[in-house]
Amino acid sequence: MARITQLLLDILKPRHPPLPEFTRQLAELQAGLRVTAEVVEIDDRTETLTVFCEGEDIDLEGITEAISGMGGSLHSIDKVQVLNDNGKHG
Amino acid sequence: MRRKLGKRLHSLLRLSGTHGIVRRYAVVNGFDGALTMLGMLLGFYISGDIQLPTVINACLGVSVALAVSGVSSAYISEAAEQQQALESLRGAMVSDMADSAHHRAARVAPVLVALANGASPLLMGVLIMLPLWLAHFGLDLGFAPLEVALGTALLLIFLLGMFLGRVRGSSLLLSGLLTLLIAGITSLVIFLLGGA
Repeated sequence: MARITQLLLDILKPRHPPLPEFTRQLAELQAGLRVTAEVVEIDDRTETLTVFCEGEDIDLEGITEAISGMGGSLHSIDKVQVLNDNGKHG
Repeated sequence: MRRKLGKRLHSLLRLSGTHGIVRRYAVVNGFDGALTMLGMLLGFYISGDIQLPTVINACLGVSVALAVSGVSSAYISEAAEQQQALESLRGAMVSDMADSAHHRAARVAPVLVALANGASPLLMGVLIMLPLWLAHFGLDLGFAPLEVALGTALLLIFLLGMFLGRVRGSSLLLSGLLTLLIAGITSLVIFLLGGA
């Protein structure tokens, strides 16, 4: 089965929650999920981020919901890595 | 379940950046409540021979009025503030943010702020009145009940000051002494006016 192992996301979010809290909330969605967030642009009320996620089987829907839950919106998915390990294990 | 609800509320307020508001309202109106009670008690103290039930009823009335005023005023002002902040954020995000913590916090925060703003002066009032009630029910406090209640009010004002110092990250003792100084100046004015 094909699994998403890497994602590069373009996100607009409010200034609250702050970046460490926002990133932590995303990482807490799945065990082993590694999340790196970088601010690209900042203004009075919002921040534009690029968020890089790396994991065994990333739940894209869960990540999108968590972003919305924190007031953010997913502008675009700029990079995806999918791994198909069918046959590898069996 | 209660802990889970508390955790969810805390998380909601933290994510939306409104957690500090509840604490601020609670401390500010708690200080108002304690200082008002101090003023009431000093007024009775300098008036001389006043019956304990009169003092208790007057203080209780003021505490309840402060609580009701605290709940209603905080809810009205904070609901408007939260709604305005949410609208402004919606404009910046170009989204209705319907699923967000910010949207939920705009409805929940005014209720929590109102409860905190109402409960804090009531709690201060009840704690300050406790010696009066105990004396009324026959417990010997070792000192005059009014004096013990005054001491309780000063202690609570000092503790509120210490709490503010902790929030600010400054010296707890200095912050406590500063609020005591405010209480001292208030007492002096009451003594001067009451003695005139």
